[in-house]
Amino acid sequence: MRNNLAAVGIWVAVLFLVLTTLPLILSGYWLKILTNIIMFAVLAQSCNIISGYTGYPALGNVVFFGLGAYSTAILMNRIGAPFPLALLAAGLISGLYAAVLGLPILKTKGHYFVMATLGVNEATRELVNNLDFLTGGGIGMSLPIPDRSIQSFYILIYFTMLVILVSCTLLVHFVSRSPFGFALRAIRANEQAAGVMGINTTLCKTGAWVASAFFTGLAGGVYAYWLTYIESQVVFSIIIGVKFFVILLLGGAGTVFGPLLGAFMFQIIDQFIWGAFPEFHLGVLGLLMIMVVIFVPNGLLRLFETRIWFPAKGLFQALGVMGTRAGRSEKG
Amino acid sequence: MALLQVKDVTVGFGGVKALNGLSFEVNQGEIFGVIGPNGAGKTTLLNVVSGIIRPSAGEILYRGRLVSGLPTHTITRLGVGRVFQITQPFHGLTVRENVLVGAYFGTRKSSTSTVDVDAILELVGMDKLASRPVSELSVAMRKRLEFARALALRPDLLLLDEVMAGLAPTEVDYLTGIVKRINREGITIVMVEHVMRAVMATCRRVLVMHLGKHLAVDAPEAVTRDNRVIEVYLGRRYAERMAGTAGEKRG
Repeated sequence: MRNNLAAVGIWVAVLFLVLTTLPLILSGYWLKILTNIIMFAVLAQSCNIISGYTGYPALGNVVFFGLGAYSTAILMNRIGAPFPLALLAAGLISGLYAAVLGLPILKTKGHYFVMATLGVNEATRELVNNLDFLTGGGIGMSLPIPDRSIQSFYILIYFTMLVILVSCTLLVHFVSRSPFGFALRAIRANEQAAGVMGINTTLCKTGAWVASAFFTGLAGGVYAYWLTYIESQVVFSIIIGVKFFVILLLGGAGTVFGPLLGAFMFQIIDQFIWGAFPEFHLGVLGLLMIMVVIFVPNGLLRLFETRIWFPAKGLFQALGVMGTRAGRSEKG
Repeated sequence: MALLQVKDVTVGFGGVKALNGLSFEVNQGEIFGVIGPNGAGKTTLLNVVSGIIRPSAGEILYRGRLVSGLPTHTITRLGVGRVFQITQPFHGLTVRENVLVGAYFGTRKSSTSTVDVDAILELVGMDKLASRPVSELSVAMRKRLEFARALALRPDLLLLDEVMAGLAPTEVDYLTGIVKRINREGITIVMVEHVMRAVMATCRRVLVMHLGKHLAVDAPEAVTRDNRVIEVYLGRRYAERMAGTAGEKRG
């Protein structure tokens, strides 16, 4: 157990070192790709809380991304709020939205829940489109141009995204070991039995969705500031929703590091497909999604564990046992 | 005062009345059986008491307090545990974690220190399976896990829904032993059961239900001689066999 913890610690340290030094040496193009990976890792990790751990497939979670983006834009543009303040407010607004929506929508399950979240996303986008005086309607909305060099701005964006990812992942890590995490997994396994076990299912589900929405909203806010221009078609796009959901499945839903691995792998594959099939890009990506669902339904992380990590560990242990036996027989 | 009072409870699903003005009382410390033919409303009764279904009329009192209409988890924390007919383990959690869930959330103080999870696992003979995932368990072991989970709630009243169904006689006797033992430790038990072997061995009083209504409440021996009960549920053959064994004993 302690060995395991040390190994994880070393991995995390290496990962952290790489992620903090890379942006300082990368070109603008690769920095953009890396920031994109981090952003989708945040979105998949947020989705992981409500979908991976609690079992509610929140395909329409992208609504909080759009809401976070627009909240940040409106607060910075119309009120002149500084970015950190606007961003925090965007997260809180998204969380509040989830709390209000959660009470009616989280009563539905499975496909019905998927459809309900998609409906909410469409309705919210229409609302944003029609509130012209606030959101600019169909024209979209620009954010204040930052007062610093392009390179340093992109590095700032990258690190903001990274901080959000780290906090989100830490939260998932601690929640997964806490009583609250037990409650969420119990709800995923069997909601009725969870209620009979004394779990306040409504409260737990809503809490999970609020946390999920908060981080999704933060990612949306950073995205808006990053691009300095947003429109509803883009930030409420269901393609984003599908993408982070596939990333979650690819990496491993209900695991702490699955979403991170998924985001990295997906972006690499995406880049490769862009290069190899410029015209048929979305088609190949669609095929890939189907293959993920059929062949690695539990995600790459679990595949790695069951096919490589556990057998290797078993082999080492077996060798270790043989070693000690050999040692004993020598003594005897 | 009775621990559980069910007063004129009616539950309707559309036009069907699963429970139709049902009333009875369960006393502190007893093992109370509920029997009746399929469709009599036995499982519905347990669902109403544990708060999964709300009654359309009537009320349920636990320790004199009105509990019908309260959410499930609140009723659980008041001290009402439940074991399901079809086992409902939390997949993806180990045996011990399944029991821990009950210990974390079901008890009134919501602390694990008051609940000895390992002692509970030992009581149901599953201490060696503690770290196994539940998907590896046999049907009999899943039933025992349901029991362990419900015990971790530290209930004062335990509702058992056909826990003996589908088990081998030796396993029935094992679980019967556990039921008797936890009852001696002060837990009042309401058991819905088809396996008469378990009912006769444990219950002090038995409620016979038919079409959502109360048909009879009496000691198990008296109930098995009641003509109405024989008519709707036990059947002539069972009555004759029971009369036969009783005669042999007397002779």
